[in-house]
Amino acid sequence: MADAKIHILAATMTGTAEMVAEDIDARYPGRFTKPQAMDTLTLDSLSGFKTCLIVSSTYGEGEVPTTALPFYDQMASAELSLHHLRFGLIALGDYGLYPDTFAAGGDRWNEVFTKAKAQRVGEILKIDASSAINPVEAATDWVAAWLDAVDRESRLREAS
Amino acid sequence: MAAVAIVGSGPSGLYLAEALSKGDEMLRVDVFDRLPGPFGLLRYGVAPDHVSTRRIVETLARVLDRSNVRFFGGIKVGQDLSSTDMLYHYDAVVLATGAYRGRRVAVDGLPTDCSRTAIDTALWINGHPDFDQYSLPSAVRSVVVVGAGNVALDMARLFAKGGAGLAGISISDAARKWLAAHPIEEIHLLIRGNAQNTRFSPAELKELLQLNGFCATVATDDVDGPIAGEGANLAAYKLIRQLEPSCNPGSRSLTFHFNSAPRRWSAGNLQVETRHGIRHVACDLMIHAIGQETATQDGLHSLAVRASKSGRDQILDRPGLSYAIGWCAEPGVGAIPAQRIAAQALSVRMRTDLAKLAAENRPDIATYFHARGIQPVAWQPRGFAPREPQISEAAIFAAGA
Repeated sequence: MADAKIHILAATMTGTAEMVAEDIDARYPGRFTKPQAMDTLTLDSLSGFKTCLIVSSTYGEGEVPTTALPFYDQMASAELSLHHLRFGLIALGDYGLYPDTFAAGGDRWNEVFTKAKAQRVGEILKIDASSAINPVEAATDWVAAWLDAVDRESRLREAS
Repeated sequence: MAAVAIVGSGPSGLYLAEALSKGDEMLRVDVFDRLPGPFGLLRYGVAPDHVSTRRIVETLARVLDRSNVRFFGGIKVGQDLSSTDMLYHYDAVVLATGAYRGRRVAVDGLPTDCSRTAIDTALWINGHPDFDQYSLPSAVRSVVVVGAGNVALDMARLFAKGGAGLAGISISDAARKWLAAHPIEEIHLLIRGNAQNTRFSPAELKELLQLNGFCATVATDDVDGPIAGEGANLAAYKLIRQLEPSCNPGSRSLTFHFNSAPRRWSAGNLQVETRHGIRHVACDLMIHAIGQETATQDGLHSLAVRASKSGRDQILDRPGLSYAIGWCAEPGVGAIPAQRIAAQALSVRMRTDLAKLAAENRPDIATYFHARGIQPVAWQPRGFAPREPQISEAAIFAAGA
């Protein structure tokens, strides 16, 4: 169903990823569900999603936020077949301090979602907090194109 | 609608305001700060060149924009209004006043002018209003930083970068002038423990070691020994092991000293006790980066400690809910993200406690201030405008300027 709402999932350390998720929701009214913290997510709830957009920060040396680590570990150790699930990824990081593992929290999510056979739509958007880029602007602009890609793909699915 | 007062607008206070002001059950949240502008540690304590950390203010500024959150700047609780006044106007009062008195290591003969805490130095560099008359001593070419955590790394990095390295970074004019006039030739990091048990974040250590113009060195006999097992900071240790045992004479140097404690100072010469006897280190300025404690101010400290221990307490002569969060309750426990988690947990507890209270119509604190001619500095809401160009730091802080 092309018009099913997209779930926004936020994994945050300082609240910035959550803010970005809230602003994406506000910018595209009706397209997304209310942002949900990944802290509270379960594998069961995930199996009911059709499309989700993950906004995650990066903790320490390229890890997912500690708040979302329990869910990440569940995903990493489970054998999942989420063929029906499409996902997009926005990752926040700090290139200045972590050039080697910049925004790798997003790569970690990409690994477990891909392993669970979910289909990623679009490239991973990585936003550098040590640059002058406004994370909200960068993310909301990117989401416009990402939504187009999601809709295009939905039409293809329906047509086939 | 229950009313909550939060004293202090640093990360703990604002994360709590965030958690309390959203959700289905509406609460009215008033945030007080003794300074005209908000953000506390994020504005005045964080190293100015750590831009991504300072940018958390952009996230927390949104909290102050909410319609059920108000900011009262320039209000000294205990002076402009008493704790009793507070509890008359609010169903619950939360202390989030931080810990900004730096601890010091005792060194015989060290003059006070040459002995500064890391937090004071950071507040001065960041232009904290209390430090507008502050300065560092003149004629400094060798700085000794005592401490094994990231604040010690911050200090070493800021002195190593100096005026030129901090160009384009927002710091106070006085600090910029001092740093430009005092190019530091030697920086020594004095660490009491061994090289394997530091609290250095590997990324921040790497950042320091990669600074241009400094030769980073460590005496090999300081780092020798078997690798410790659990609890060892091996990532940082690996970086330390790769350092040169000595520098070319005449080069600017950054020297790590492990198993070392400062003992006696005399005429710019510091005696450092090591495992192999006394080592002499040039020291024109010592920066103590060994942690912070709650400053006893406005009689709030004992309240904060008492409240944090019991969770629910009775302040003075009037019953009411009081709480403490962050470093005023537990100095040095938890970095900024941990305060967000603590705030969410406290907000759940507070909602439970508040739900048990009988609804009371409490007078607006604004009326109290008005009647006494006190004019708090308000936060200027910027509204929801994600498409607007990024608001500069200067604009964010203009509310308090």
